[in-house]
Amino acid sequence: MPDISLVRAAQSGDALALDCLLDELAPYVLRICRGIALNHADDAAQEALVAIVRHLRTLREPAALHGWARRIATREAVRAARAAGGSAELPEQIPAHGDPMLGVEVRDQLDRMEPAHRAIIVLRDLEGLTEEQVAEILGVAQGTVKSRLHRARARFRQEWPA
Amino acid sequence: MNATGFLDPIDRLRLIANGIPGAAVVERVLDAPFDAVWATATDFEGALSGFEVSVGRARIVERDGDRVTLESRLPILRVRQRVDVHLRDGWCLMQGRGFVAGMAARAEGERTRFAHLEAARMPAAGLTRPLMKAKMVMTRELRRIERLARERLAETADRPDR
Repeated sequence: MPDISLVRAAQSGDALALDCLLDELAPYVLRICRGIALNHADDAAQEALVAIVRHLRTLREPAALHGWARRIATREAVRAARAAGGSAELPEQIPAHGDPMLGVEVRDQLDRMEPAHRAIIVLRDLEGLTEEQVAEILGVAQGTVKSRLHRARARFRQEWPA
Repeated sequence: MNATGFLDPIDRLRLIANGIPGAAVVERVLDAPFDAVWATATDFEGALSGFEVSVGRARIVERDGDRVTLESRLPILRVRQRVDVHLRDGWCLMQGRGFVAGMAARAEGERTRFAHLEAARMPAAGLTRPLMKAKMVMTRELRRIERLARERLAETADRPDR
């Protein structure tokens, strides 16, 4: 939950409040972008942050800051991943919750998946977006998200070391 | 200068400018090393009043980590103002009741890339507006910082104990 008064201050033109928000948002946005845009994550994260800062005033509910920022970050990351095609290599870091070793194994596993499957697993399973949100970000129908997610998860489980 | 590691101070200043309507940013490579430039630019009780008229002659009233509070006297009306500052290596964001001023720097070999942001604030209205000061004047301020930094460097080199 963001500091509501900080968000409101930044929205009203308080530059120091905006500076504080960036301390919080920049690593968050970068983490999301690294999971999707891989070695193009820095560029994607910078683009996302520009959009976030530029449109911060339009955010009606400050409590929704992180969800809103996440949607912008994933959109920019998917755009960067698409532009890069499937040749991107995974960086050292990838979103991982809990056991750090799980992160390494997930990374190895995701490394072998095609970008479309990788993106959908990151958005849905690692970032926790709803199918509706994923559909909006990827620009596909919700039914497509459902079927693609099913195939991606099946592929992931199939290759996951027992 | 920041907690994220991927946004350098210059990028961060450009980013912040996107969230401050009317903010003007000028950028220039100064012919002086980073240490001398940064020591000059953040000499709040000395050199600062020589190039930053928005702040005027200042004294430090509080310092807590990267947060600094200045009390300054504006040269024109002789009124006192409180200035809040976020200060890190290569990053300085200052905000008073009526203005925002930012400075960011990074070393480029023996020279220094320096960016300067200014905007006027109307906090009561929750707005910022374009500063009357032209970019030409801001560029002149950068030249002044360059000159003062070179003088500082020469003084240091001339000291008998060095």
